[in-house]
Amino acid sequence: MSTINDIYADGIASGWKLINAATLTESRTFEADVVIVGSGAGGGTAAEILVEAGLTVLMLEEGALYTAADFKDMDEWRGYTTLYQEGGGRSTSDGAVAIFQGRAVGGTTTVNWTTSLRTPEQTLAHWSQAFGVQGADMATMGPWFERAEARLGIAPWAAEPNRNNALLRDGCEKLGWKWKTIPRNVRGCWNLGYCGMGCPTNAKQSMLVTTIPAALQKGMTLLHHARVDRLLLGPAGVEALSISALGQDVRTPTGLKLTVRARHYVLAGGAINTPALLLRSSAPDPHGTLGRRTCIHPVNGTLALFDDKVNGFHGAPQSIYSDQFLWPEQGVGYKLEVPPLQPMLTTGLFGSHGADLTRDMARLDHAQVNVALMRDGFTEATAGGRVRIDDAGNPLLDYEISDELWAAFQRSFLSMAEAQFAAGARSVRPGHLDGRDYTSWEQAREAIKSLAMQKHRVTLYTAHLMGGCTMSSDPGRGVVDSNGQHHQLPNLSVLDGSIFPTSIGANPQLSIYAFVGRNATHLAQTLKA
Amino acid sequence: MSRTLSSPGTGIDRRQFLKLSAGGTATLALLGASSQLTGCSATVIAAPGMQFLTPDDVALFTALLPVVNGAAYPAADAAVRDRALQRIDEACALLQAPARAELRKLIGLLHLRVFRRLVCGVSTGWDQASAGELTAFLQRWRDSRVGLFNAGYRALTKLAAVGWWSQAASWPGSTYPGPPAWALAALNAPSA
Repeated sequence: MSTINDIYADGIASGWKLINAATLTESRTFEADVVIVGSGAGGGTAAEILVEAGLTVLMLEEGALYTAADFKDMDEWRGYTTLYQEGGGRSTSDGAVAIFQGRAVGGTTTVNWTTSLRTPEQTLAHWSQAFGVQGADMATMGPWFERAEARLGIAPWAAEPNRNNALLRDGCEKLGWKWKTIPRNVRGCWNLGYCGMGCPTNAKQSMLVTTIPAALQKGMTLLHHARVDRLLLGPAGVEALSISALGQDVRTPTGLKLTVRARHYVLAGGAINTPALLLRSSAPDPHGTLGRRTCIHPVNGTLALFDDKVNGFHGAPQSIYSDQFLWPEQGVGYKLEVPPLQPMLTTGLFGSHGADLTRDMARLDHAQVNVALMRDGFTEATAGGRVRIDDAGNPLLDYEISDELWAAFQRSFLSMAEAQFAAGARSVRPGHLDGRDYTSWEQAREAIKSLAMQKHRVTLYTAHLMGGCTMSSDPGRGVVDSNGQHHQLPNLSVLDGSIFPTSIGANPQLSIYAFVGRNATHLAQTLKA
Repeated sequence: MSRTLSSPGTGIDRRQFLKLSAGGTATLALLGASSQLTGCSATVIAAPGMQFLTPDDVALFTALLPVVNGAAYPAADAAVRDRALQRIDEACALLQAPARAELRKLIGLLHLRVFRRLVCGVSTGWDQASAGELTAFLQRWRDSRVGLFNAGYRALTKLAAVGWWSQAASWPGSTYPGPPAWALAALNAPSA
């Protein structure tokens, strides 16, 4: 028999206040001490803290509520089309970078691959120095990381890595490169490999199964299928939220408009939707910083074939990383990790068709993939992209790639291929339209050096959206202050990944938990005073 | 790459294609403008049972599915084809308005006879095109040094690939055994 608790069915039976806006038939005005827009890493963390402080909280989510019971098929098509922004098809405005971002209760934490790393000390120091972020030193932040780690069961993966990860470790080991075991936010993980499709066992300690149920248990209201159209602004700041109810398809507005009034407004829609909401609302932006400096850890990859099976579609998707190249003396640094290799996700990497694609897919069980995450945002030439809105208010992300960033992509192709050959690969292909299956490190090295580094030729992804509402003590350089408080709107805070002044240099979820934990605690104290 | 760029019978050789490619951005912009002038976007009506794909789009992707996916794709299996088309339609419909509009612009161009002939090298309707013509078209757009053609190649092949490789019927072709059987059994067993 199935042993997975149905947290939400049990909760609803015990009186949780969950509302599906698709089912509402009359306009309504909701009131709360605090309204939180978004239910991901930021919104979920803030909700638990604010509710525990005794405040009444309303959480809004544009996506739907899906739970472990919906994830039992571990199916890629179901996962991407129901749990991701734009059905998994989101991309930068020019289509050059595929964007994987969650859209459901729990946000991206419902679909991420559980990697939980602290913000690197160098990143914290840079934010303090270059952006005047206060209290971002490791001594101050340490307890906030520890708090999140304890809350979410974050610990280095204790089981043997799957072979996809083990081969990254082996390659690094052979070359004398640094590597480490990844801490994951799991409790009782079955080691299946389907974190990206929603965890079917409730092992992943996402917001969906931790902070949100805890907040609901203490009386929070969660309204899903609810899209915030705009903030209504007045002399005193935000006066209300205007909301469209979405139908059961989670896309088409039903025509019903809802209103929310609160003492304080928290935006936690992530680094694309939060800046876009502020832009739609014509929020004050006296220094033109809103929607700027959007960093994405752009990712490229190399695919190796091994004689023995790798079976990279099964097992914890990420358990090993290498920071050997994260902090170079010159140029943009990058982090090395691996992705899970289920077939639908993997097809995009090849950039092939016809007989080539049939052959490429027929060797999936022997494939191992390394990816490199660029640490963007730290230099002027890599200052990130820009979120803007179209005439209808839809968000668009423009992201240009400078020569400095292209140079880093080229170096990372080399690093990834070198590690794969060191681990015993029989061939390595860079994720590039001109990439071939090179059969020796020497051959790969020469070929990679001559690859044209251009958009659409290089296969590019991002799963990490950061910035757009930069945190800075200087109102001239940021949208919010070091506490996430908006510089111009006194009753508005931004508590999500959009506050980061640069990329993190590590998968961002733990950074969001820690900074939002700190800032939501500060907010709760302010509101209770 | 020259092996794939000349396509006998289409009246366009490698030199002509490269010349066209050199002005590719302008060509696309011009044809994009003309497609709007001819009211393309105003007359888009989805095929029965579809949200985004028009009958012409259905013909286009029906033709592309076997050519993009190769021999692993069971071209004679109507159920697989119909599911693939449904999934392509769903993937398009799930995009937000800006991306949907870009995709509509691209597909609109593919339905313009002059664009299809000059830029794609396909002289008939998509449903009449031979596998060789379609393969040559994909290869041209893939090999082009004009980013917009590469982007078009990526978009079309991604949709066609997802339509097939997301189906359980494709798993034998990708050596993917599906989710672990023991876990599926444990998770889906009826509650006691």
